Amino acid sequence: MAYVLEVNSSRNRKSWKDFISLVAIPAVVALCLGSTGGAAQANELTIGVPNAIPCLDPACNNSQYERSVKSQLHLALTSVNQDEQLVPQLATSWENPAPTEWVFTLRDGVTFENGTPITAETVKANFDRYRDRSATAKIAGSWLADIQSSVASIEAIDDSTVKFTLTRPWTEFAARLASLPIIDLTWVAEGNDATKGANASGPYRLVSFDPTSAIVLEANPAYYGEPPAYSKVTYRVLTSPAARLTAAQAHEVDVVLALDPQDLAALKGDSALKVGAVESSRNYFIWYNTSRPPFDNQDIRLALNYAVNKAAITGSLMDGMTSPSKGQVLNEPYPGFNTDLKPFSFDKAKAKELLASGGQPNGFKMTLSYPSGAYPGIDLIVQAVAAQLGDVGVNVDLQPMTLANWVSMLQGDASKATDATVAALAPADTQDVGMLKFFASSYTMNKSIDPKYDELFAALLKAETQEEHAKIVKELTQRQHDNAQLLFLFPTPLTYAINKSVDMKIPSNGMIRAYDASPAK
Amino acid sequence: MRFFVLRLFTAMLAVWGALTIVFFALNMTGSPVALLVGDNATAEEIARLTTEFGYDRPLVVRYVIFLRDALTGQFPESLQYHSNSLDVVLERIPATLLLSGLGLLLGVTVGLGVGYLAANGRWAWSRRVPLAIIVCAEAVPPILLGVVLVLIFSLKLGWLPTGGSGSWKNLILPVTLLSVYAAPSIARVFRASIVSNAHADHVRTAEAKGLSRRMVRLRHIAANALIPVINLIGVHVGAILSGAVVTESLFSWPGVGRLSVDALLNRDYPLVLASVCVVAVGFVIVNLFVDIFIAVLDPRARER
Repeated sequence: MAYVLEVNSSRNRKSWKDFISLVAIPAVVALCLGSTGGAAQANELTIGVPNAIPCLDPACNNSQYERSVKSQLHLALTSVNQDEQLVPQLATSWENPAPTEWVFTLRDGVTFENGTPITAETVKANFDRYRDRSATAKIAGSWLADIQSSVASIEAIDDSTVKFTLTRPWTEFAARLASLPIIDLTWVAEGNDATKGANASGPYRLVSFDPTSAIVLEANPAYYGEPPAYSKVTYRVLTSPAARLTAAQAHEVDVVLALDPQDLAALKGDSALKVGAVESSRNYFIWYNTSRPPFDNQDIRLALNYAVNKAAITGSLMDGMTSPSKGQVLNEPYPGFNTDLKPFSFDKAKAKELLASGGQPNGFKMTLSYPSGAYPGIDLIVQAVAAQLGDVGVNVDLQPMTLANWVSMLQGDASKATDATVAALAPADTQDVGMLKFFASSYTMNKSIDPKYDELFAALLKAETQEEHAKIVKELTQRQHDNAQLLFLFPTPLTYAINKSVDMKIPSNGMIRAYDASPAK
Repeated sequence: MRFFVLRLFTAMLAVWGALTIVFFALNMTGSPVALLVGDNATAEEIARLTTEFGYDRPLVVRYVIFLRDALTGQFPESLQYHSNSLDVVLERIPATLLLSGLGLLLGVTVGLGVGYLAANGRWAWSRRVPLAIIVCAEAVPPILLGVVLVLIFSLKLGWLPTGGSGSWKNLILPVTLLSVYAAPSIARVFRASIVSNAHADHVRTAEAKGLSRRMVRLRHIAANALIPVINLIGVHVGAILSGAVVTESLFSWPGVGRLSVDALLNRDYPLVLASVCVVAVGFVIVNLFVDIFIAVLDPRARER
């Protein structure tokens, strides 16, 4: 105590004053900072995305957000616009003279950023690389597997004509090419790294690339078309839901996707934002394991479809941002969406009746696995489904798993898989075959086997015309509905918040491209 | 010499232990190939890639290969970034060092200031209130405190960005949050150390020799009171590095912490292991330096 009294000298009065100043300085600095302001300077756009964008090479595929960035740097032969229509891009036209032949006519005078022209030889070199498994194996995973198995050869007929010869008829081939941009392989051969840089040909060129923080683009003067409405674009990586929410609340981003559905309410009162959701092309469903009873019984599978009140789940947990699926895995964004099919109604009496006719009048026990946290709201959804199934006597043992363990389980033998699993799948190209292939027996993760479905799917892969394709897709979806191959739930909502100063439509596939945006009128 | 050799050996043991635990823990959560191949994979493609990435080998073999790679710095390629995992991590180190360094600097400065004030403040409130405030801040979970800081300074007042990088403004909130990891305990220890040193024999001797009060305070009380603080700072380097995981994720700061969380979520095993390796080595090196520094400052430490 004596010491304390002694050190309370004038010198020490100075010391604590110094300390107060030290603490006060940051506060004063902060006071002087003023507002951080909104996201966009005039003619600049900031987009918040929920995933890192690790790779700019079109041979890799980590997410639709990564594809969105790549599609603005590199031109593809075709493109899917924001209305989800297939439109020309590097190719001005194409034809399908034979079921296994596709001929594309290229746009004249298109160059990369450094002036190198894009010719049929450039396209051929790119697809030869895509087809070469050894060249792309480590970065592509299975992303190029369909190209590698289905494209037999590519031929540059002349500078502006390229011909693809396929190993099978592929009516959706032109749509698939929209996700495979053309890069400058001579630029790569000079020692440049296509995973981290770009010699752009698209509407934007790369300014800076920080895969976990921000990717900055600016309008590409070498682009053949109209300059984009925004001359500078920043893709800001906001991996945590809280970061996306606060960035939207602080107006630091003009567009942000994949907000937590429960967070939307916090943004709806903000008059500067348009907040909402679109039904994505990713559909929730429950995959039965038909290799074991009672799921080998059609009545049981149907009973469960009637026992779950999907409208109650979409209305409450999803806040009305999506609606029950129409008794199929396709929804409106897919060309083959079957408008004749209707949702399974919620009918407990009918469910119990079907359980009885299926030999389970008192219900049964089942295991239901799911990849915890992997899809929006999945943990809440499975609990609601389990509770509703419990109401008809089906006792559900929920088995949450990490995504890796869940995928590993489904890729393994059916005898080791759970009785059923909750999944939400979508193909990269929003095409019918991409989605329907998940339910064929050839697909590793599928444990819900239906030989009739397999027959129809095999026929679909051989369809030579659009009409034949559409007819078989209709039969497939009808078969899947009638056979209750799955418990159909609903499409996942793709949530967004957009500053009202920006005019932008969010497509169901989550492709979020700055050149689809313009200042609001 | 024996002291340094012993410290070096325990440091290496600590790094090996951390890597081994993380390696086996990661491999118990499933194969990364399952996620890497995506939705479109057939069984043949999964098998092919499993072989190509070497995940079909027995776990022990993979462990030995991993240790060999770690020793030579030749980590396997990141599954997401398609380049040497160690390079990917090292690219993020400056961002983490900047954030952690400033967080530690602020934490130490505030901690020493508050500790000094708590020991020497003229009035009772000046001895108690600042210390109470930072101890209260320490009691709040960092993630909650971070959210509160964002709510006040970004959303309510609009003074600072909610996250991101590229400007000094982006540093203020995360650095403040990180400083909370260090400041309270440094303040408490420094205060206690000053008080106990004030009554030490050597201080009385110095006063008896007629040294000025200023000289006694600086040379004989404060300098000696810093020894336990320096030890504590070494511990806090680790706390701040692990705190950077939360802070970087919360504020979207592109450092090693956020990189390792993203890598873990995406099952990028090589990247997770490279991150752990870099952080563990960094932590051990800092502690080694702290031990050596303490030994230089206080010869008694070498005897222990």
